[in-house]
Formats: sequence, C-alpha cells, structure tokens
Amino acid sequence: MKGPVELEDLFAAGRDEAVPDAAFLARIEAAALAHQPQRDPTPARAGGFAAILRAIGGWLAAGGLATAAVVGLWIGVNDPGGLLGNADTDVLFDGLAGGSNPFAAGGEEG
Amino acid sequence: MGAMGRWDSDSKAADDGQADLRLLAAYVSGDAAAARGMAQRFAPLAFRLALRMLGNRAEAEDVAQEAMIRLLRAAPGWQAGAARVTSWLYRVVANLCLDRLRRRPMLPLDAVPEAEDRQPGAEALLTDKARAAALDRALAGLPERQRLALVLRHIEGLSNPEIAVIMEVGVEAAESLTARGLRGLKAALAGQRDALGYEEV
Repeated sequence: MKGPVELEDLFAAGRDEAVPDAAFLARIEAAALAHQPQRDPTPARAGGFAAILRAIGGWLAAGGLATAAVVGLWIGVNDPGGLLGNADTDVLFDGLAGGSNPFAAGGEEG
Repeated sequence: MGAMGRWDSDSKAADDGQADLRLLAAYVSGDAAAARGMAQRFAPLAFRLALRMLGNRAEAEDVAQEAMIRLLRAAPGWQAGAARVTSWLYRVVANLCLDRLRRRPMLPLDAVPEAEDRQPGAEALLTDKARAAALDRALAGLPERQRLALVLRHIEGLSNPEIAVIMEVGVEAAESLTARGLRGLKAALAGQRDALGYEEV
C-alpha cells in the first residue's frame, strides 16, 4: 500500500459494494408492514342527528323530505282546489271507533 | 471536504438522530409510508455492517433481517431520550455477528488457501467488488472486536465515542481497538500490495 489514500479507496469500496439487493429490501418492507401497530380502525362516533342525516342520504335528501312534509301539511290545512272535498268521507271515517260518521249522523239529526 | 467529511459531521448526525426518531414515531402511528421508510433507512446500514463483519451476503441478510425485526418490535416502546436508533441497531447487528463468528468452526491454518491463489488480476481489482473482497480478506484476519471497531470507524464513519456506546466500552478502549485494528489491517494489506494493483509512489 502506498498510503492512506489507497486505504480509503478500499474503505469506500467496502461501503459502495455493500448495497442490499431489491428482494432483500422488499422482504424488510413486508416485515415492517406486518409488525406495524395498526391505526384505530373505528372512526370517531357521530352524533345522533349526524347519524340520522347520513342514514336518510345526506342534506339533499333531508331538504326534499322537509319540503314534502311542509307541502303535505299545507294541503291538509288549506285543501286547495277541493282535493279533500272530493274524497269519500264515509270511507275516510270507516276506520274510526263505532264505524260511524259524526258529520253524517249530525246531518240526519238536523 | 475530505473523504470522511460527510461521515464525521456531528450536526448531520444530530439531525439524522432527530429524523430517525420522527420516522420511528410515524411508523408507530400506523403510517404505511413510514414502514417503507424504516426499511429504506435502517436495513442498508444493518446489512452493510453485517456484510463487512461476516464477509458473506446471505449471512449478512439473515443478520440484518433479524436485527430489523427486533427494531420493529422495539419501536412502540421506544423512549425518546434513549439511545440513538442507529446506535441501538448497530449494537444488535454487532452482537448477532459476534455470536455467528464465535460459532464458526476454527479452520486449521493449512486449510486456508494462500491469499495469492484467490487473488484476481490487478485490472479486476479496479472494481468495488474486488476491492471489497480484498478488504474482507484483510478484515478476516483481525480479532473480532478490532474488526468491529474498524468497520464502525472507517466503513460506517462513526466517532470513537459513538463506537464506545455501541461496543459498551470506554472511549479510550474504543480508540485503542480502532487503532490496533487499523495497524493490523495495514499489515495484512501490505502482503497483498502487488496483487491489489496499487502503484508505489
């Protein structure tokens, strides 16, 4: 050997040649994944309203549902265009206790 | 910057130490990318030390894999103020290598082929592989702990205090092992001067 420069050449070769092959690194990566602590898989619990909203399909669905409810209530209160007046009220009241129609009975008495 | 400059930078070592701790924390938190990072960061250095200690790639892979699995298992309980991750890993690799070397059967001297019989030509020695083989032959003739100190100092580029931590000895003892190892290596290489293909000046 002629001096420390050449010795360093050997040390450098000792570093540069010692590169692990890809298959070995892939095995270590697989081991790292296999031994890795897992994140908590359960998401944070949503509140009751958020759970209901999610169950019915989100804000868009909730908006449609609310509109339908308001329209239904408005029809029920105002009966626009005689929607309910054309109905057979006898049939409507058949399910009530006694099967009688109090309006019809009142009419007979009067 | 000298050839050893990048290995000797204390500030770089400190930065690396902090980065290693962050990587470990990310790994423990379940970050899948950090799992890949653990392999890419630590497996090569474990393999490198094992290869230069054992001189055999298959054995070096076995040792490095065992050391890596120990590191992965230790990660969740890692104490931030404990040893540097790399120092811990080097120590595990070193101990595994020393165990293997001590279990190897002792060959009688006349069973070892003459060095010249295995020497490639000077031209072939221009390659890293041939130079590394020449280095391994010279390292193999050193006492195990001198070999370990020498590899940690001149291959891994660690400081003597770091070597002392890894080998669990005092700094003076680490310096002595490194110095004696270097003298022994030079003596071993002197006998291969011609075969190594270096020119005299």
